[in-house]
Amino acid sequence: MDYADLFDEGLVDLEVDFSSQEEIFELISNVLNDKGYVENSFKSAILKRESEFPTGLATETMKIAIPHTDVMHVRKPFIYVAKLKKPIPFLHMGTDDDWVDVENIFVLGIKEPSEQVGLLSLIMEKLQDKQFKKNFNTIANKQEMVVYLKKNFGSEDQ
Amino acid sequence: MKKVIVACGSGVATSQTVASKVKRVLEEKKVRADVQAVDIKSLENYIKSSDVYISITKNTKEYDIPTLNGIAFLTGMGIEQETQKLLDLLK
Repeated sequence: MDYADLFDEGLVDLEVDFSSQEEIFELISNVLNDKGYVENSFKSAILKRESEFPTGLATETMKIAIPHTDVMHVRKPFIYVAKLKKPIPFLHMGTDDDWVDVENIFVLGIKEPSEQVGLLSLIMEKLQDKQFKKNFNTIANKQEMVVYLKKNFGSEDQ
Repeated sequence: MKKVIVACGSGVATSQTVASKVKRVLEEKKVRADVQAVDIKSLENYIKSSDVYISITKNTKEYDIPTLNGIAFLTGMGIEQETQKLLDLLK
């Protein structure tokens, strides 16, 4: 699987202003549903999954969330990228009391776990790469962002 | 061969990623072990036959086998420390 194919201009939000996790999942699920990426069950599944097994991740250089859910709720694989205008608190993975002010969200549409196994490591790697992070933070145009992400995550670049 | 089990909520993304990272780390260190990713619901079935449990979720119960912090292998924060613990456990 070429990870470049997972990105779509319609699945990118830049400088988007949300006030809660619920609002984020509501909007993202609706877009994914309209575009045929997910089943109707996706919205409730991803909300439930996030509350049971939170996906916030913080390192010295990044604060992100990587929400995802079981393959049965996904019709075709994707990555939804949302750069938030103001941070939204997510619980850190593996905790029930450590909140992370998340700046960027990567919703992972996993359909073929064995083919997509490198994806999460690649996201981590890229976001800890200074040059990538700088460009990612700067790009304010959806089309430009998708081109940039495809280039960086595509197999040609591997 | 010793067996390492990695579990996350659905077994589709995080545990797979951590398992693959752990495999790579062990290969580099020339340590042979069987590393497997499972979802948290199946954990009980695997834990009896495993030597080390790498956890990514909040532990609601204690297991009889040594447990390591899997998030270190995901983010790279504290990975040296967890790797050393793993190597010691697999000796």
